[in-house]
Amino acid sequence: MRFLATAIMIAMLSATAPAQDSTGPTITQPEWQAYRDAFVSAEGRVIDTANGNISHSEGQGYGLLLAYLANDRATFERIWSFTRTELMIRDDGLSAWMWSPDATPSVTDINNASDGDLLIAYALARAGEGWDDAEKLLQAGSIARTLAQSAIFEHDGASLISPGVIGFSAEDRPDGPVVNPSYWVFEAFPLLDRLVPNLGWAEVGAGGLDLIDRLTADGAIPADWMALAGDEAIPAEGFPPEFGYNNIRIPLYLMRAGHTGEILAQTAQIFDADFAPARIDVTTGERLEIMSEPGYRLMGAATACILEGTAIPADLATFAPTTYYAATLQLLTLDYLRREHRDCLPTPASPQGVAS
Amino acid sequence: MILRRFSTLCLATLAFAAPTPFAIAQSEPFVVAQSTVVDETALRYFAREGDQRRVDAEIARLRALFPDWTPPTNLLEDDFAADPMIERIWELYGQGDFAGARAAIAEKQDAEPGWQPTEDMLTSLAQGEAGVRLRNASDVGQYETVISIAAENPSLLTCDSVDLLWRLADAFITTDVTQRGIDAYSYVLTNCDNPQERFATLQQASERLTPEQLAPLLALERGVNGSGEFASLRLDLARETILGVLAGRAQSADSDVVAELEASALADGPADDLRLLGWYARSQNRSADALDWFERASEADPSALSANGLGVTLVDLERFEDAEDVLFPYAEDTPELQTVYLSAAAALLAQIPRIELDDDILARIVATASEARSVPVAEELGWFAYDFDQPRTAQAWFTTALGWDPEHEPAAYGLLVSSDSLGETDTVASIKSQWGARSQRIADFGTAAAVITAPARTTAEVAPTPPARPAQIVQASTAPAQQARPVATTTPTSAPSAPTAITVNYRGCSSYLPPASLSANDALNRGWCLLDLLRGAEAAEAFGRALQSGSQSVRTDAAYGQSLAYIRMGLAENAAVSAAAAPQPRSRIVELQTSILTLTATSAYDAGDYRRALMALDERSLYAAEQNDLLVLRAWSYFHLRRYVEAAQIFEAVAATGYRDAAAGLEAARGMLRR
Repeated sequence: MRFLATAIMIAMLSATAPAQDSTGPTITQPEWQAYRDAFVSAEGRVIDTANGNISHSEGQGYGLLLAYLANDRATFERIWSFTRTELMIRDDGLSAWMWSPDATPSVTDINNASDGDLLIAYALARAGEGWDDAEKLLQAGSIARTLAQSAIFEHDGASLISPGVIGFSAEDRPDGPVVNPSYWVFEAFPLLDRLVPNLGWAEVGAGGLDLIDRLTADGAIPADWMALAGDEAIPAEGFPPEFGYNNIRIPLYLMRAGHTGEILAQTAQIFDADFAPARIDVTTGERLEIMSEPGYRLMGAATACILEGTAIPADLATFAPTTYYAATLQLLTLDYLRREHRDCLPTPASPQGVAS
Repeated sequence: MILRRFSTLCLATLAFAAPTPFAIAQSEPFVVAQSTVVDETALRYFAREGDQRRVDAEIARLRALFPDWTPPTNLLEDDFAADPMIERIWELYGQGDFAGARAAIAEKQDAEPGWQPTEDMLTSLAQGEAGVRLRNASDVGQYETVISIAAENPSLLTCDSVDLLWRLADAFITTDVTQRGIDAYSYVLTNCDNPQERFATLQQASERLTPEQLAPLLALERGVNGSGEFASLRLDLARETILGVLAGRAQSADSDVVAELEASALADGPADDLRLLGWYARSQNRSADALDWFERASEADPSALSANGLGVTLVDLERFEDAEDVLFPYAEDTPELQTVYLSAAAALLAQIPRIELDDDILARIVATASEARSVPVAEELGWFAYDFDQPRTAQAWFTTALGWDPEHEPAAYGLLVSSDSLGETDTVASIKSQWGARSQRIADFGTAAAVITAPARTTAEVAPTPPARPAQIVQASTAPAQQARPVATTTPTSAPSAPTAITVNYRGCSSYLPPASLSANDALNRGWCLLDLLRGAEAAEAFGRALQSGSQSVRTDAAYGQSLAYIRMGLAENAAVSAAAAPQPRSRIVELQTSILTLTATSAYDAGDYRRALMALDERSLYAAEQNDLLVLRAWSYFHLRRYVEAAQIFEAVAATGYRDAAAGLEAARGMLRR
């Protein structure tokens, strides 16, 4: 029974999904080596160096995806083993969102984070199809099914994804439902929809595009956490009314999923002349903190190149690990550019280059 | 050297038959398909490393997976060609680095396209990871995860990982699948041999299960050196059970459980156990047994703790002299012990009939009471002196008691009585004016009502006031109240004292305790005690507290007691109200009504209300026949109502029985008739 299901799944996926880029990994061995040395421990833990060396489900998901993109099966297995044994211990099969090296037990909050679960499922699905690994497809499908059932909800006729199983719904809080626009990892939805059809992943993708379109219309800048109870979406209670580290990913996720039209332009307002995004008070428009690490700026530069043909400065296209988060976003942007917009990269395009 | 030793060990290992893993579901335990080739690479790797523990674990694991598999006889045979990469995988696996082993498999596959790990290798890793996952899930209370991992990996559940069985049991019990939890503990105790793990298993079980649920597990105890391996745990459980009884969580402990601790305590038990058994016996109202345990405790450990139990038990047994003697050396140790000592001393002083005490004993009681400013002891010293005809000393003690607590009515009363006997009328008047509004008995003192009210010991001092009526009435009419005192029944609401709590025994009621601070049961007992000491007002108060009991029988007894107390105090109306506060058996109704109506009649007569006196007597006749004293009262009532014919008839009849008091009445009545 199990083998039959797997066989069907592989058949379905191989019909529509591309295998790993035949030209080789889009993240180079030296780049990946540098990332791994800086942020991945021997036990497979992706370490958020800027946040007390904790780990989270989102980081594990990024680590898995990057390991797949770097075609590093060994590290993928390492990260997956840690994720499975240390985070995927919730009764519903999803991952606890945070793991702290200084706490016993290390999981101090058993709640999940939907984007972490989504990234893990997506990376497993990519690896499952790219490496022809039925077991990983099954595991991806299992997470995608559970997440769809517990986090996808309908609001005003749109399919949305709740940031977590508990605490964000209309029942849970007066200004609910609350969503995080950056939890829409758009590239994942078509794949998950094929993996577990008819559970709402395609609709969530459409709902997210519509949501972001509304939130960024007429130059508006959305807060990371938005409350949807009223007619107008407003910053959610209990969170700073800020566009911040969450939402800076939105243009990257849009680009990676091929949404490079008007909606990308709407979300690109947040980058300055140096391509840097910022933490922004959405009530005043004040830029509170410029995010100048190359990883962040590369997203802005890529957006500018796609929308306006602006050349990407060489220093941004060169990977040198700074913090875990900026480095992650930088590699994901490089992966995207090398696949879809080599023209944006400085010549001679030297994906081998890693700053020491 | 290592290898040779290993070979011997290895043979021993092979003789060991691993038990079937704990089966989580009703179905057969999970078994890998029989046709699968058993991967012995791990076994050989650990063998070459000389790691006997891992060899054992691996053999047990493989046996659990492949029941028909026989371990190779020589794990070190030369023709086995080791693959360094595979060795590396098993090495990482052996170190518990499952992530590393997964990575090594991927590296081997990269290096050798087409190479596949054996099913067993993958199963081994999956199981290793499952164990880690199970522990992590258990740590954060994800019990469904714990149970599902265990269900999917039954071969994890062996004696090699007893902690996983513990965690599984915990998950089952926490999610109310208690029997499956008991099964998991039972599996360990049936199959596993490590003594520490067996002990810890029962220890964990005892923290999570009720005594009834624990019983079948205790039955799996194995003998070790002539005694059970869980002997010390059984004793701990017994101690806990008994402490539970003392804390009021249960009425009594299972007699077998108690017997086990008793046997151990008698053999070489610590003084703590001896004392615990003493407090337990006391809680079960077995004072003689309690005395025996506390005497043993005092012998083994002459200390304040032992003396406390012994002293309190001696008070229970009304051996107040012994109690005082036992407690005195520790009276200054703690404030609590001083309180216990003083209550024993008060009880000793309050004994009726009075006993003479040695001067040195009296001296140390006085010293301790003075230091502690003990009002109850000062008060008892007052009555003690008074009864030995030392009213001056008595007066001094009552004055002292009042000095320590100016609001203490019993001391004021004592001062009143002693001053009166010294003929200090000014003092008497002063006390009466000061206290009369607050104390009925002080207000009534020296009046006719006081004949009934005053304690027996002061009766002689009170001169009856005219119109005279027979003095015997008091004794005769209140006599029923002295009879057949009901004993308070113990109900579940009464919480016996914990062994560390020092309690003042209710049987000694000489010290004042606010009734509100007592349980209804204790208040009831205290009420009887106070009634015995002729302290009617306090007794009525105590019974009033007992009337709040949830138990019907306690309320009935309390109403009865309170009514008797009011009768003693001469408060007929109050007595009638109390008598009606709870239903009473017919015999008590007769007793109470007889007493109340007697009281009503005499009070009415004293107040000059002769009609009411006659009405009360008429009503009383429904309950009891009138004896001569009341017949004389009736006759005098008629006399005062100028019904001289009826008066003369009764006086004549009574006088005919030789009752002297009737003669004067007969003469007076005839005299009036002659007019």
